[in-house]
Amino acid sequence: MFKDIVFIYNPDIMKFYGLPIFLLFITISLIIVITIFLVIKEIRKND
Amino acid sequence: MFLKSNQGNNLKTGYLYFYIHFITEITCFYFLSFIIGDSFYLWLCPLIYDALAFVPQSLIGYISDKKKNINFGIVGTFLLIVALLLFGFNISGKYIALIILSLGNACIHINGAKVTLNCSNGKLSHSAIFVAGGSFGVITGKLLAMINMHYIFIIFLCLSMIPFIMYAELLFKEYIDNNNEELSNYNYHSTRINKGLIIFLAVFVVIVRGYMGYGIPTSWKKTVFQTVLLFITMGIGKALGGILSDKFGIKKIANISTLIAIPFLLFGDHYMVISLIGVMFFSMTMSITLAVLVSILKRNPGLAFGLTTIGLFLGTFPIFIFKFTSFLTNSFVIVVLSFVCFIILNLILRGKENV
Repeated sequence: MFKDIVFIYNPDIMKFYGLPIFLLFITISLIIVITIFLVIKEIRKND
Repeated sequence: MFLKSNQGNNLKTGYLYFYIHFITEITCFYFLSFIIGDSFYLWLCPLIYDALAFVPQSLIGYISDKKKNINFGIVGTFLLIVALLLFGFNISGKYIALIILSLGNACIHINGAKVTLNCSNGKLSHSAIFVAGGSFGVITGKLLAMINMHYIFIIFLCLSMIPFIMYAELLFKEYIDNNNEELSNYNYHSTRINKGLIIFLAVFVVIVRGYMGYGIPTSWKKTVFQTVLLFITMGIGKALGGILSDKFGIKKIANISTLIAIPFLLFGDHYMVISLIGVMFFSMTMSITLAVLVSILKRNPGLAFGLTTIGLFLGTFPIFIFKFTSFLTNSFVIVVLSFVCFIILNLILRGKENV
């Protein structure tokens, strides 16, 4: 199965666009973590 | 079934937001079609768009839930127009217009969720019809870009959303004045399983649906006409999922849509019609997973909607990184994921035994 994987992502992109990619992933990760906390908070509030 | 609703005029909100969503996606995909740059940049821009249009909806949705008077539809329309003007006058940096566009899209989505979910009286059709509009908008936006439609026309399309947004807001306020603020008629989740686990599993199904929609290979997806058909079919599937769930029951439609999709997705690689039927069936799960999440987060429909869009982003993210090339591997992935979704939906949906 793993021989069938073709990687589209090219690691060379980090040389040219490393900073925006890094900022993007930090932003997404932060939002997801905050969302999880909000969901937990709202479930507890509604119980 | 399409024109009448037991909720009186409230189904209008679904149709109003079908149009609004349609125009929003026209705007976004028109814009995206004109992005030029090196291959790295062309890989990065759709990723930025997907991330910023989908992921922040959870936070915007939470704010919308707490501050119902903020009309994020108007905010989003303003942002789309600003993005188009920056694009048209060529005065933006590489990312600014794209970020503004993405956030505008996110705001409009959340307002659509707020209005359609709150005015639905527990039914799935309203939000399903709203969401379905996007698929038609995506392909229309790409087509308008192909024929080099002037961006001013797209700005006028954005402005045309405003009366629809205002009217939908009127219907929303009228409904809220006469009804409980909590979506008490959403009771689709199983009471036998931990709520946090249900949310996790429902989001997992959304992730799979996101992957299936774009990651499953279709070697026939080559001509413009065939791509148009694909997006129209996805839109029809999303709408039908809500409409048929209201008519026949959510669990029945969940089972049918996940299982029946399997053979069509498996053998649709070279046969367009077969693949489209599979995509349509699997798209029906959209409204079902949303209903489950809203059932648990009754006071936070915006946050619930945002969870589905985070799931969609996570589902489409692998497509930016890798793809499987062999029929056997793809078949294995389709069958396993579909069965897992079938099992999950049966677990998390309320059956007759725990009504």
